[in-house]
Amino acid sequence: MAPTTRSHQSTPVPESISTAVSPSLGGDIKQRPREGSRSRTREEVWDPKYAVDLAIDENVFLFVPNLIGYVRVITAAASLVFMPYHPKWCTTLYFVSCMLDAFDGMAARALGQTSKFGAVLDMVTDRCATACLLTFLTSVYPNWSLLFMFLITLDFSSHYIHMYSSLVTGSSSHKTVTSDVSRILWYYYNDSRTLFFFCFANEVFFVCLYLNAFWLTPITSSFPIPTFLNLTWPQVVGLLTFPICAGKQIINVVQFWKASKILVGVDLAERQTARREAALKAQGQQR
Amino acid sequence: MAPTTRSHQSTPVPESISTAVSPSLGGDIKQRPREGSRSRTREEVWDPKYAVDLAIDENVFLFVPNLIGYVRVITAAASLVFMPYHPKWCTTLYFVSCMLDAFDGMAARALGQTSKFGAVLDMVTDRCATACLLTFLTSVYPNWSLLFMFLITLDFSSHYIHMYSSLVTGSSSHKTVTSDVSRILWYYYNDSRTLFFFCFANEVFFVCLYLNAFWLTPITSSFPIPTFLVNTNYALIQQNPKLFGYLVYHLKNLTWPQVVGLLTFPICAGKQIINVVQFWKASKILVGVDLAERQTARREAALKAQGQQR
Repeated sequence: MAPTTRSHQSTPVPESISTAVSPSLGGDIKQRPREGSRSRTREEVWDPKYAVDLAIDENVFLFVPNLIGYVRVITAAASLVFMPYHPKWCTTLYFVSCMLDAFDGMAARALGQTSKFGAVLDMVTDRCATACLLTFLTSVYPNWSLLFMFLITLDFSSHYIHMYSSLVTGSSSHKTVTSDVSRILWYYYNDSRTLFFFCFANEVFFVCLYLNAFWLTPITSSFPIPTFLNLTWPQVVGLLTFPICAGKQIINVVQFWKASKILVGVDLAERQTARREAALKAQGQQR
Repeated sequence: MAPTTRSHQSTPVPESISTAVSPSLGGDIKQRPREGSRSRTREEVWDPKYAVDLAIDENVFLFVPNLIGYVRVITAAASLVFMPYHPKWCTTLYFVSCMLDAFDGMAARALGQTSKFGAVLDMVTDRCATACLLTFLTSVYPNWSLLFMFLITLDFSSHYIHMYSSLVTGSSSHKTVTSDVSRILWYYYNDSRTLFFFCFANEVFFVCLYLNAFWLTPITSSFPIPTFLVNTNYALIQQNPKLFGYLVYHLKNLTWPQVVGLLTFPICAGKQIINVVQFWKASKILVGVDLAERQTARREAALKAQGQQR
């Protein structure tokens, strides 16, 4: 199952890697121009079969940050199992999953084990854990189910289109945004602590909505604070984090809009290049 | 709001496009090597600011397939509004949304209006509509909510990672898969009618699960059951009265959603298995790309160290 096993069984691995990067040295060309690429310079991409066969030395699946990622998946799944009937375990597991999110990025950079696979695993775990929590909230607050469905949709789609536009325009991380593309996003992404705080507070708000269904003891019964309303801890923390959650949703909308414009711009540029090349070709045929 | 307006307000658009593709002719270089690219040849990508400013002639947002895409979004959203209490309108709107999915691709290819934006809009609409329907099903069948959450997760993650690996390895469409990467996927994607049938039957199954909560009229109320199915004189039936009583009761009370659901269930299960295969294959591709890039980085570091020693 590990790539190491598969590479021994299938295509023999070439002795040196140089054929991958220097087609002029002969050997199979493992890189080829990107399909559909209309740029004048050859855009080299990796041949997928060669990429799959290359896994001989290290096992990316066993990188430490990816192992942390698997633990994140397991704890998030376990929190979903306990969600309907054991709020304490559910909340604990969910927060462990969120906290590990900070650690896997740090571990990857510290150990030099960043990988595309790890980035995808991280993104997918985040999106699906939040979506499943919001799914459960539609059962808890059925009158608001349309709102939660909208939040699920916004979360998925804004991150998806932003990632797509980043890959197409070649940003090495979807979190590096130059200020001229969007000032709001620049402030959001520039400071990693701000980013973590926003994302964490967003999750805390949804967890407070969840706990609100179970936690009925007002704060006043623990210690004598004069309050007008019988607020519970989830309600207090929820009210505090609500503006941040709302802000993050607005940022998601901005992300979606900006990424749409970038994709549309790329589409138009490619269409114009295609038209010029077709025109040049027609000119060449006339002569 | 339209890109045409923005380009007039901001950076003046260069007269000819040639500066974009031939940096040697001077002018601003609008393409640059991909950040983090370690391939020996320069991988040119479009500068995003330039790309945004380029929208002068056509408005991709108003392409016909994208307009169809907006109608899809609106009908899917409307079906969600009616989902809790008006199953007929909900189902009609949902199927309209699914049917238009076939048309927007056809329109894009016929009119030459394919676009990345349209592809993303299409993918996002599919995933979110299915996810929201599955979300509603967790309210209808609370005991099975974990299963529906798993299906949401599998649907989204398999398509996401497959799209990511396609973009990284340069496939022009995530639906073109060469047979040596995965034979199952090749059969699945090779015939577009098979693909459409699988996806459509998958959606039909979930809609049947939804309708099963509302549609209580058995099909037998429309036409009579053949008597041989309910004849209890057979020795086999008399030996197993409980089992056959159970079967006959359910046969008598089968509703259309249950019949269609039972027929489409194997296809839905097959599609979920295909999603798992997609996820696994795409993971291996990404890992392979990671390893190749790491090896290239090590060689370049080694060459650099050698160069410094001399």
